[in-house]
Amino acid sequence: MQSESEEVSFEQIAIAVGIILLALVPLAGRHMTHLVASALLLSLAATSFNLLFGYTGLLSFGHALFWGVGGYTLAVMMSRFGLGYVESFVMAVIMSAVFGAVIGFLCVRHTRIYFAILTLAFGQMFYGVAVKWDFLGGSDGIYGLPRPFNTLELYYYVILAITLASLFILYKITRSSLGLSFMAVRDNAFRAKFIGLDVSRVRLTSFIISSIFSGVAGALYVLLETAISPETMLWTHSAEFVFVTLLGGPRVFLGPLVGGFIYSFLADVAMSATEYWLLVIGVVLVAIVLFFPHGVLGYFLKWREKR
Amino acid sequence: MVTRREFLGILGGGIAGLVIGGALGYNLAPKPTPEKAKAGKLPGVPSEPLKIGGMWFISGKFGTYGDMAKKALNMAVEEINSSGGILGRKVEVTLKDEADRENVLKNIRKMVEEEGAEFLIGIDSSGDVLKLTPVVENELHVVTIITHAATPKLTACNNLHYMFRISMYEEPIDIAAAKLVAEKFKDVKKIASIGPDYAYGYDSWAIFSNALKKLLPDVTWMEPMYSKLGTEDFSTYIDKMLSYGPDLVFSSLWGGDAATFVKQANSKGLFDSIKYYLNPMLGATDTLKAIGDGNVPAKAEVWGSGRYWFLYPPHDVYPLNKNFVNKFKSKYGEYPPYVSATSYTAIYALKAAIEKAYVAKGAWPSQDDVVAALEGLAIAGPMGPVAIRNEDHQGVYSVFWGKLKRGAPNYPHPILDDLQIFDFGEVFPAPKQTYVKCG
Repeated sequence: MQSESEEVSFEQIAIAVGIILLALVPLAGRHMTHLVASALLLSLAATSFNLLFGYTGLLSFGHALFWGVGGYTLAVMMSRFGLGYVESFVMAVIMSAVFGAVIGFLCVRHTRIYFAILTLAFGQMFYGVAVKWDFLGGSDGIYGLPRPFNTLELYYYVILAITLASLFILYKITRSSLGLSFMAVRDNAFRAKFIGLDVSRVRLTSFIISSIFSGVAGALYVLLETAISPETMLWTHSAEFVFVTLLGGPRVFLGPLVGGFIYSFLADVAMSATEYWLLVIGVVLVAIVLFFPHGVLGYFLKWREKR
Repeated sequence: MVTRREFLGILGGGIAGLVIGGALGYNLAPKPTPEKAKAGKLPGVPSEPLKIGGMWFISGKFGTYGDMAKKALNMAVEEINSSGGILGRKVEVTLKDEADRENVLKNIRKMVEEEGAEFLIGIDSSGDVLKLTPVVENELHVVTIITHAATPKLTACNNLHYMFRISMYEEPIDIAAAKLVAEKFKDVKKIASIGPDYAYGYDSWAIFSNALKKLLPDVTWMEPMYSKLGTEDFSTYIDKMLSYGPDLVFSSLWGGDAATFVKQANSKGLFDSIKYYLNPMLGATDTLKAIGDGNVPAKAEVWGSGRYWFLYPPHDVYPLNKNFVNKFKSKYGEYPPYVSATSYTAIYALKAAIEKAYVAKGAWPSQDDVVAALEGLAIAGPMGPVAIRNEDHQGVYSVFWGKLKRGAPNYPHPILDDLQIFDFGEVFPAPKQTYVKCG
């Protein structure tokens, strides 16, 4: 017979097995390494998006903006100011936080559709800035950035390590009193106010943390891709975060991660099979919204609970 | 309490996503199936088909490019495969859509690293080609032939090794435009201009105006104007031009924008008050189709150029072009635009280079061997003989400018007539030189 503390360890085993598999990915060739690396970063961005969406109840439709801020900051620091990887990365994190604070301050006063529209508008606005501003490379973007260690495989481990660390931090936040305040605001803002929470401030905190980790994902992605262009801030990219989160399940912490992997592999297979792969993705989205409103992981956990 | 069954459930849940994902990726991806060596094949030549990866805009509003490239590729591949392939290897071209904007580099890497493409061709957008260059040169190391993207930066500002461009780029056309003005339209005093609002529009004006300043120092011009891609109403731009009162309008608008502008300028009377209208992108069959015979101005002379014009080199003296045009027309029911000619030529350039390198080596050539064979290669394409320069990997051939004329009754769209030919020696900058700022 096992005790309850051992019960937790089974989930830990599952995660450990996952991590071991992830560590073995470079053995599966360059394409697979690339694919899993981008899936990890998409998952990280979606998880940070979900801190705002699933945990705080705010649907941001412009979150690719922060991916772009992180990415552009890193690219500008490296190519325009000649900074090293670490300094550029730190700057990217700082800029993501600054942008998150300013844009969050302007957005969190509103909720629901108004919040979604505002974030969408900010995203499109900065897309316009990136297209127009020569310093950011204009419509061509910034390209030809060298990867650390000059190899995809070693850089993959950098991405894996930072992504896992970020996910761990985000997980800890959701389990902390701060995370509880996010959920309190999500479930009933009036009650949260009555028990003494500063609702706007809670939302802003969630917004900033969310921006930072989207920025981290964007910054890491630039060196995977070796280039960044304004399209990364387009609303379609923001919609990808929303999609991935719905796919995996917004009410489970690892939902967006599962969604990110399913989406990336599905897109990869669909892209090889047909030029009209977006149609496949569209059909999947409709099916999920209709039949699995809690996402794949959410559905799986529910099913397991029932048994 | 946890039973064995539940434990398995949890463990399975944790890894299922990864395993399913991995298995999907592996099993659904096409794998090359090794064929048995056939008797009678050339020594040192692999027997599996030669895979070439291509990328153009296939969907969306620029989808015509991919469509036209695809048609020409099918023609080239059919021709080559029906006469034994390249050194006995069958040629297969797989295409990816450049309109998938966020995945351009991802798809390029996928073609090479997963789908086994040995060479790459295509690319419509200049922004994409600049991004792609370091990836091809430093990471993928495969010979890549660009067939459309026209920024001077590609060949002038990079030290290319694996990348080549077979298509005409914007600079020689714009320099030829300046020459045309200086030689034929000497009475021009005031110029107005409009171009698309991104790098190509700015570069095109910079090249034309700088080249013209040297030839006709007294010409003056108004501040260049730029419009968003896909602009539907040009009336404010046209009004500004009318109030400035130019003799000549230079426009680098392309595709639908170029056609819309001509139609609206025509109805607003711009062509009654100016003498000349020059557009380096007008000589594209889809643009001419969109303009239509009815919108060819009666008064002003409208001149256009392009990377290839299906009536040049003249069919009677250059049968290769005649055969290409006739075959294309009978197969697809229309005259080939430039993307078709350059894509077609790119495949034949690869074939010629591989064969040349094979003769020197006696075995299937490496990427570096193909690079060496492409350098200095001369190849006869529908656009005439093309020479690939050693120093910058740019294909050079002569530039045409022609005057817009109604096509009826012989052609379904307006055509370019009174062709002025500029030999490449006159209008190509020396290798690595450009009016455009690098970096």
